[in-house]
Amino acid sequence: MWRYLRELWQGFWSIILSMQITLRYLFTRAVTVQYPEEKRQLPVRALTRHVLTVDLDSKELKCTACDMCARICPANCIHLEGEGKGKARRPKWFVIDHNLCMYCNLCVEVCPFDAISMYTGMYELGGFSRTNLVYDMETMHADGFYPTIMTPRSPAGAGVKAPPPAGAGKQTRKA
Amino acid sequence: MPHIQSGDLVARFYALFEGWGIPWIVPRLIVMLVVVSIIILFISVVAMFLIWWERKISAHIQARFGPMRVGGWHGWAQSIADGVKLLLKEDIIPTRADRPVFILAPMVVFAAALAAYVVIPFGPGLIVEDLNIGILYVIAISSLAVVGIIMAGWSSNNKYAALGALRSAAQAVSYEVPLVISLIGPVLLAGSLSTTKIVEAQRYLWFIVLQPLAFLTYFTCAVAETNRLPFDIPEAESELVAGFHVEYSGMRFAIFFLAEYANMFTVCAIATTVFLGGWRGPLLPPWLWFLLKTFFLLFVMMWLRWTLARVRVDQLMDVAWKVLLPLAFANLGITGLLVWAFS
Ligand code: SF4
Ligand code: SF4
Repeated sequence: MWRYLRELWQGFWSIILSMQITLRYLFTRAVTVQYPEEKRQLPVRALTRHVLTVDLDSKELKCTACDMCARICPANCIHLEGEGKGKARRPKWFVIDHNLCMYCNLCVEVCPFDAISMYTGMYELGGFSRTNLVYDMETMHADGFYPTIMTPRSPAGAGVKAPPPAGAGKQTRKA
Repeated sequence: MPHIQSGDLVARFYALFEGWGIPWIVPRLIVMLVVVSIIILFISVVAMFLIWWERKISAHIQARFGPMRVGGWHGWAQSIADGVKLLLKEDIIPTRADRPVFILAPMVVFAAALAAYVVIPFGPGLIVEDLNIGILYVIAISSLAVVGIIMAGWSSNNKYAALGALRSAAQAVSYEVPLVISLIGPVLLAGSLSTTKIVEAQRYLWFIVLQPLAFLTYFTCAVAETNRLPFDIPEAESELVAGFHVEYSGMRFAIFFLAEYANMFTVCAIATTVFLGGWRGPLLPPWLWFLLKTFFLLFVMMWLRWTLARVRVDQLMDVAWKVLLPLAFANLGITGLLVWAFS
């Protein structure tokens, strides 16, 4: 009899306690991010769409078309062709197929000239056809400073675009 | 016939028609139609609000937002959009289903939910018909819903539906008993089965103060009666897909849904009437007090739903027969003795 009543009371009390907890949660802030209106702050080193970085003074691509990234890419999604000799060698065309890319960052790590970066915060890569996701050189051409492995912070210098607010996700699309 | 605030308005209406020499049935039918339309409108609005509210509460308990888009402000029009969507959906009847029963089942469930509104006193005089056996009537009517559920389960020709219906029948039969017995205590105190008289009897003290045990047993049974978590084994999604209404789609499904929320409102309204002093309260108008109390109880129901996990079938029966029934009987016995001793 006493055991019965005790268990009854314990059951009742545990319900009251758990209801207290759920009530507390009812008044906590929701963690939902209302995506198209609000955007999450991405970490600086989040791996997102590539850019081909530029020399901040001459505004020229740093890439020398050495083909290292294309060779290391496990998904085989980088294709490029260079032109010119020696120090003047530059890519003629350069495409990355983001249908295939798995965001492994290997191309960035292997690049000897810090010429490609994935710390761009551009993650809104929707497209209406697969060719929309094949980015060419003009699209990936950096329009200013982007953090890279070797220069994660903007060097204090004139004519420098501040690092894109992480998650700003602006993107010039040229299909 | 209804006494809506001014019963003599209705009487004048009858007299008018009698003066024209139209048979007595015509004005009565018109009045009935008007009253029923008002109630159905009320049920629909309340159900839509409750569905939206429940989604909001469940979301916020889980630190989410719930519907946010439809209608602008916190997705207030979500239920309306869902209703329109359900209306436009294809009405599927399974080929091997028992057609007439399949079609009738949601109507029976909804009719049972609707009929209970006759004796809910929203305010002094704001009651469709103050039956002198009000509470008994509600109990009788509310157990009718299980007939509809069994019809739905049986006619669907689907084992999940049949299992859900069987469970529902077992549940309703078990929980009806402590439900009724826990209501007898307050009825003894009030000395009447009429809902208005019970509210009148709580002029000085709400019955929840005198009958806390009866309130708890009633409320637990009410949650079980409306097939809601933690007692929603008739429609346990994880094991029965959706239980008895698994084969229903479109508007027929919507009617089941509507009936569930209408039933929730009914049991909470009865709890308000019997235990929380009905429409009584200071300052605010009576009907507002009644709605406030009822919606508070509805909130508690939703709150419980998002707190507790679903019980097993055997646990469900255990709770009914080994816990609620003895408690309800103990409460009834003590109340009876005290009423006898003090009178
Ligand atoms: S991130 Fe990886 S998969 Fe994508 S292009 Fe670079 S190496 Fe290839
Ligand atoms: S590894 Fe760097 S420099 Fe070489 S082709 Fe790729 S991006 Fe250009």
